[in-house]
Amino acid sequence: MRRPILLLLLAVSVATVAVACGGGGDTTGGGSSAQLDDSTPVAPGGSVLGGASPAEKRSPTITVGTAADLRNAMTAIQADLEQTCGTKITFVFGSSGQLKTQIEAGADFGLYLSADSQYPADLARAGKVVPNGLASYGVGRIVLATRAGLEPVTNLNQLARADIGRIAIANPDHAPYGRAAKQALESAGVYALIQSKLVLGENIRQATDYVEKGDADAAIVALALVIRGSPAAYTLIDASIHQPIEQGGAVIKGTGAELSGRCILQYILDPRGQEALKRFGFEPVQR
Amino acid sequence: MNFADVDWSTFRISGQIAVLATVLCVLAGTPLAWAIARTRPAVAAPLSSLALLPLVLPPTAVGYYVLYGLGRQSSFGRFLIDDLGLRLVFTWQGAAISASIVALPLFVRTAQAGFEQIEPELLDVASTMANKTRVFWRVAVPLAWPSLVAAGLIAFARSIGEFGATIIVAANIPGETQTVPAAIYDATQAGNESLAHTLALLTVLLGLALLSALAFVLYRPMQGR
Repeated sequence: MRRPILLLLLAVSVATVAVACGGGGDTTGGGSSAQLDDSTPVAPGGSVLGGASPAEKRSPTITVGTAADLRNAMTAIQADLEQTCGTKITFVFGSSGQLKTQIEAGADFGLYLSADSQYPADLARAGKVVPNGLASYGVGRIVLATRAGLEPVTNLNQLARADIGRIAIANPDHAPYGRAAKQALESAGVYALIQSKLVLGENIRQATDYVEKGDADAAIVALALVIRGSPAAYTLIDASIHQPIEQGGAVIKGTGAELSGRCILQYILDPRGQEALKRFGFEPVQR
Repeated sequence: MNFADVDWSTFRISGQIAVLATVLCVLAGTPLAWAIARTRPAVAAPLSSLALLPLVLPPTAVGYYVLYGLGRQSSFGRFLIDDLGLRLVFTWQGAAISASIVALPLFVRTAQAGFEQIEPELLDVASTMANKTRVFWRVAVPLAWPSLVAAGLIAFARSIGEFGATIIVAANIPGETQTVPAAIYDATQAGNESLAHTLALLTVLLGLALLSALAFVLYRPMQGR
């Protein structure tokens, strides 16, 4: 009886060591100097249509890895986007950091719409982005939301109130809106005070869900997710107390849908797309 | 290997959740398994289906119902929170409740098999001398003991690894409700490959230890016979 278990243990150990040694090899980044030209994102008014390589293709379907704060805005313009670019779009919503990790692991996203500009730039440095395929398309805002049935919290200091139990934010490790929320709490000097009340959502949509369904008493969430009808009451948080949430997009190399990705990103940069983002509370990129 | 980033509280929390979930399984599952093993088929069949249901459900569906039941969306949840002051959403106890539901079918099946192996004549003879409760405690439980321990270990192991239902009910609060599986998920999503790798390896070792314990409990008494 003992022997099979020992053998199994041995086999697993050998396999694990093999994986451990193999894993170390691919951590070297792709950073080449040829990518330097692409590191400046295109701003609204500019174009991501030029600079395409002959290998890039148009595709009848495209999957877009999309930051969760864009869920409502993108759903609102999806039909128009699909018609304009002649492609059927599947949005995969998640936190920007999760989506970036998935792209690094080879996810087939023709376009990446992040909630920050760092992750797209990282992908470009790693050689994952087409030439002239980076853009900054808008600036997000965060709000302080309170669940229905409670006296609304109108400034960050009130989060320490006794009737405020759980406070939801997105996970700052991989969600830009969570990062901004944490910075705002730190700037207001309440982070240490309320840290034990925090619940981390996997992405900003989940954090919003928590407060809208009443499981969290308060939350710091994206304006874009509550601006057009939400059961939660909200107050805008002063944008000067956190790093600006400048959101960037990147057309991903080698997916066979690069030209469709460029078309969608261009739509968002053009007046129609910018108008739609404005309706959802996004502010224009300052250049 | 990256032991520096390992938050050891995740192991404590996973352990707490698994222990409480196992206790809940024992309390609810032992009478249930006994009833399924000993009543007539018309009663046992629906009971058995009910006990097995969580096995065929996605754990996320279990998590959804538990969150709905314990949270502010349902009147029962509001009763718990507002009238009893019992907040279970976002707590490790809430996670243990969902883990116990996910683990219950495995507990019941294993315990039931133990009860079914007892010679019916033995129980019949016993019931001529003592009441049902006494027969259960003094005859059935001692005879089915190895299976009950195995059932507990399987429930414990299933609860240690529970992810889907747990993360929905208890979220992923470091130091409070973040379990080992949730920490692995987090590390993967945040691109911390070395931490994910270290944690995953630790779970392999932990799993082997649990399986060895299980093999010991299951095979030892048979060799003795």
